[in-house]
Amino acid sequence: MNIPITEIALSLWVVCAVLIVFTKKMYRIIITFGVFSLIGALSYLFLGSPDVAMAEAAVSAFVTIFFIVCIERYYKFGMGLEDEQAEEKVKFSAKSVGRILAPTGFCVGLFWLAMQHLPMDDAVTVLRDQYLARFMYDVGGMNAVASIVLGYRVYDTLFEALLLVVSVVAVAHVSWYDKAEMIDRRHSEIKNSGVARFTMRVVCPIIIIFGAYIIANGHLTAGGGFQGGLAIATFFICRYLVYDINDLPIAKVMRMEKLVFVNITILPVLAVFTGVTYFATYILPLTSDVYLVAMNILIGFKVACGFFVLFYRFVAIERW
Amino acid sequence: MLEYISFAIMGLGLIFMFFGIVGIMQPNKDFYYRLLVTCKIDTVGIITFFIGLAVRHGISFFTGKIVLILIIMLILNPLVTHMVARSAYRGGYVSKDELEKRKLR
Amino acid sequence: MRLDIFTMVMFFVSFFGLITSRTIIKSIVFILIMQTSVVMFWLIVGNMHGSLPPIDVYNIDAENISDPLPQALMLSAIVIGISVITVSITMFNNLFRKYETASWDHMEKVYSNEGEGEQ
Repeated sequence: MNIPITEIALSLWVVCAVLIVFTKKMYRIIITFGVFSLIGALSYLFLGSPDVAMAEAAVSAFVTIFFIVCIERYYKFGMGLEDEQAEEKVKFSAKSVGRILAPTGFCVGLFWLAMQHLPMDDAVTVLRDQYLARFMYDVGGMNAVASIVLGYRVYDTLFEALLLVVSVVAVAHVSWYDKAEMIDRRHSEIKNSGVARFTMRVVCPIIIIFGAYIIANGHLTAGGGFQGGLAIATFFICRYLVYDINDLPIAKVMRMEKLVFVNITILPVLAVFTGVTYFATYILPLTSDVYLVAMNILIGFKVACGFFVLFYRFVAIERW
Repeated sequence: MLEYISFAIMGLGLIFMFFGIVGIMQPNKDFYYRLLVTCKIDTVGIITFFIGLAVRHGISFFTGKIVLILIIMLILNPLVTHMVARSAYRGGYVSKDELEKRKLR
Repeated sequence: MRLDIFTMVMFFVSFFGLITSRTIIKSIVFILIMQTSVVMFWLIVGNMHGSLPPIDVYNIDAENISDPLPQALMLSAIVIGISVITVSITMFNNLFRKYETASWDHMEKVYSNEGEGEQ
């Protein structure tokens, strides 16, 4: 019996998105969005790409936290409820009907145009066969995706890392930061329960070991620097949410992230662009894996620092 | 033989999950009732299902991974439910029965 | 059944939502959904030959392995997506501090009133 599991997952995925279109309450939208992202990650896994699935699952957790923090303040001012009520009022006039019908017609027309140009069923990619046959000799490692990201397509990785640095800098400059408000403000007066604090003491080492495992084994199995860095960044989130500590040096972490980014640009220049990894695979097969592991560790460190700064900016500082 | 036993255990886990979902869908029940039922899906259903998987695969590396995930689930899932219930209680949520009792006083 | 059609439907559903949503947070959510649908489209195109992950390639039949190149590109697309989303949430926070609404229409009204006041 052949169960069409991918089709079922994709249909649930579409249903979740349609639900998001028609819900008005902000908390419901965010929770449905979390479900949507997890179903998407599951379908990525069915489609044979565990790396992307891990990245999507980790990213969806972070994005949900950011949105919930954002919405909490939105309700605190009392304005959110008014906006929701304004949205729920249905006025039947020519303007409101046109406001729904025109986008619908536009989307349906574009959909019809897109259906005429679906990709061919027998699309043969020459690059796929080339990469699958040669990646182990050119770059090394066992995971084709990791060796493409860090070997053949290392320019893309550099610019992606640059974009993350730029977004962290932009968030730090744009976000609201008033020094007068920030003098020893704790999250709340109530301490967290003893159960939570004790359990976090047990679980936090496991989280760090898991992240380190994903980073160190990125070139052999699914995983890599980005996913492991996100797993390590959750440790800091747990530390903040459970112990309510707000005294970490954010400026130093930002400086460290920039320094690590400089190292990320230097390492491929020395290893890949000069062709060291290409020759190393023929002389000593293990030396090329050294490059992959070093690159994964640097990227993981950078991503952990970046998301640490983003989380503290959003939750600890932007909150008040 | 081992395969049938594992199927039976996994089916039991699915039955637990089914009853949990039926409990969530109950209308006119308050928040704490539904939270209790959700906790049942998270812990009891998943534990039974994972034990079934471990029995199916015998003693291997895969079973070791399953047991590791099971231990983490056992630690974390009750904690999550505890945190949600605690924050609801601290935030001033009062269930309907409790409200009626307070009115009677 | 062709799997691309799901992603096509998804893209235009999110496009519809992006046009018709009246609150800023909802628009940001729909940008993310649109990005997810594009990622799914490329993974499905790379999946037409087979659905085995491209890990430890030499022990399995090469015909059934999915294309690793779109996966590598989509990995960077997801990172870029989350950095865009964080910047846009921060910009929304700043606007909310200034105008104290989250609705596009109301914000526009307040903004135009401010301009008249200055003149």
